[in-house]
Amino acid sequence: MTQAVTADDGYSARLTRLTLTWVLVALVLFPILALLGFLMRVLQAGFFAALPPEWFYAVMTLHGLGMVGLWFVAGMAGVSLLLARYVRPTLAVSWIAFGATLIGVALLLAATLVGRLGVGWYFLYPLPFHSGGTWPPWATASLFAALAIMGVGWTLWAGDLLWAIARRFRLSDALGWQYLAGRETPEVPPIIIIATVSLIGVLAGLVAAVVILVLVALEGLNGTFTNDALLIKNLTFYFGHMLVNITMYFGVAMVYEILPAYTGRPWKTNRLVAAAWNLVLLLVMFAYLHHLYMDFAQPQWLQVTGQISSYLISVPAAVVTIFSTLALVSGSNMRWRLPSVLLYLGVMGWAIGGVAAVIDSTVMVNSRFHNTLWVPAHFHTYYVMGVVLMILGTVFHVAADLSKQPESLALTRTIVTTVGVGGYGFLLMFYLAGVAGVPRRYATYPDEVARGITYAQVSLAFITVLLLGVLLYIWDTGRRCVRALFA
Amino acid sequence: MRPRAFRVTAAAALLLLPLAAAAAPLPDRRADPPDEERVLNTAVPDVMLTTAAGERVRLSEVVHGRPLLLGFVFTRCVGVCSPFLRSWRAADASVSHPSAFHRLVLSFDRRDSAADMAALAEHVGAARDANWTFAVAEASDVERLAKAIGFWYDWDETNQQFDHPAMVAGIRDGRLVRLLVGGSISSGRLDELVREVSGQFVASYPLPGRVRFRCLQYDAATGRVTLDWGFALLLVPIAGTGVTTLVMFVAGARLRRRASTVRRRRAPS
Repeated sequence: MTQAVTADDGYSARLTRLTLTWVLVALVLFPILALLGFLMRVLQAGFFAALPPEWFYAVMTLHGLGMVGLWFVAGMAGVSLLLARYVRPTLAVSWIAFGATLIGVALLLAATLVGRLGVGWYFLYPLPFHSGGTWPPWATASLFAALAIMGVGWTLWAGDLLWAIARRFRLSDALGWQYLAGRETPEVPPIIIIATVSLIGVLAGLVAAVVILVLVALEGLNGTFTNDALLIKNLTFYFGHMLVNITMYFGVAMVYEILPAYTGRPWKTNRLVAAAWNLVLLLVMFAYLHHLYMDFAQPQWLQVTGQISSYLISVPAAVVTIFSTLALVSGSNMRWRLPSVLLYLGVMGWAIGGVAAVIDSTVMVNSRFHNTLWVPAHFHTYYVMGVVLMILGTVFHVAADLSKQPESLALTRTIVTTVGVGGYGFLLMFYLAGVAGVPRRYATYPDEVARGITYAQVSLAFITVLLLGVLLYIWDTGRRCVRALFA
Repeated sequence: MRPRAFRVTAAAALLLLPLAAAAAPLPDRRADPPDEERVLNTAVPDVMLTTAAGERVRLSEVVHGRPLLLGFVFTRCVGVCSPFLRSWRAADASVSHPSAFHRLVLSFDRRDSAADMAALAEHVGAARDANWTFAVAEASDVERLAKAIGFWYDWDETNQQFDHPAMVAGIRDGRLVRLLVGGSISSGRLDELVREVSGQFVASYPLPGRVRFRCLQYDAATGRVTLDWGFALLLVPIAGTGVTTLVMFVAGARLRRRASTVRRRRAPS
């Protein structure tokens, strides 16, 4: 059995303090960014019609980039904490990433709320450079500076975590190849394999971001140089899809590591788990291609690769994890507490969102659904009701453990009910609107798709319920974290 | 080179790279035509004009809500201005609905007066055409307008002339929708511009030869698509991360071996 790291020279206390700092920042940013999402639906519902549409796109950019970045760093912080049971990441590097993230957030706030930058979370080239006077050039510069600063911080962070694993494990062991060869030793916990796969993916995504920044800088500095929009789109979605995908895998790593504490059964690595995550490492490099189905210039063999990768990647990561979760829980004396319920619901949300994603990654379907609200429906499903619940469950697990305060079952029921009803109600409106052909990224709906207004209005009620549940969770978890941080 | 010195040098080089790039001489903008992509949809300022007839009016009052074609010239021009205007006038004669949009010819030379522009209008035969306005404006307003549509003009001391491109800007609802660049305007190109400013979709393509690192090359003659150098950049993330991961784990293995050797040496025999 792989031994946990036990030597302690204050490292655990410093790691806990660092993690709680990350958590508190996340708990502050989450409701703010969620309210921005609420505001977008308010505008689509036909309220505040006087607000110029530029604001919708600026808010959409901040909401999208903010949420993607927030849950990525939350996932990284959670995995760092759990990895520290087996390896020893460098805390200073994590603090550097923390500082870089704060600077990046400040720059993004300035670019969107002051500069009204409205490029969306994918900042698709060449839109940032063609504002048509809607946002000033400094807002574009601010966006890329934010990406560069956060990119450096996150690359160092991911590199350090991988380095911590490399100092303890051989690459073949960290990837679980011994299980593929039929050997059970050296025993490696699932989180090591998942983290190794995920961190390699993160680094690949961040390298793609570096290539984008270099190309964009070259164009900015040299007036006669123009980038190939198709190349930049490939790189952008390589980076963006990777970051989002890996965030989900961080959540899954937390499920593997924490859920056994509630089921009373260990969740050990076996040949199936090892094979699944090695396949993920291969397929995750190509799954992003489904974002380019609409690009007719992309060669057909790449489109086919995208569809096959997108289909296959759902098998090893999702199906293995989902069935393993069900097998782990089934027949066990599961303690249904807030962390275990959120982790379990997170896996199920991931499954539902995954099915919707696989539907959308089918070329024939995508040609109909690509620009409808089906797309935000599926990614909000595996985010809000998937990885976010996994991370919130983990945070509560850690906070409850540190604060030693008993859990209120009544509050747990209220949180789970409001988050479940509000979350799925809000998502249902997205799905129904998507099937009805309501376009995405519309600040207001013209007469041809006026039905989108009704869906948006109904969704406001559900979002309110969801936000109520989120605020209750934040109040309950936040006070535990504050108590633990200042104890 | 010692490792520490190498690290310091590499870090310094990385830090200096942006500075060096920033200090690099700017490209000569005369080498390329104005880049439409950078100014599309830019709001055009509603500046005050003095028409050839001496009237002081706002740009919006001249246009009256119609689409606008705007061209910059100067009356002392011994180069492109006159042939440019004549070709524009000639191509304009075949436009099907001439009053559906307005044409404005504005001087960017502060020495030009309303009378100079009136003479120019007479010279090209547009003085009595209600769909054409020749005008001058305050230097600062000219500068704002020129910036909005991506037009530039540089004084050439040697030739005692302005160096500038010849172009017509298509403006609809106060925003730039298309640039027509070139010293001679054909009726076909003008027709495209007119249709574009009237709200019709007219396909356009980026200027050839400017795009570096293309993913693919398309041969229109054969219909074949081949991979280009840009595609190699798509492999950089996979290759870069693969190498980095291998280096890390090899270094990690060495560290473990070294630690194991130290432990063995320290262990009591």
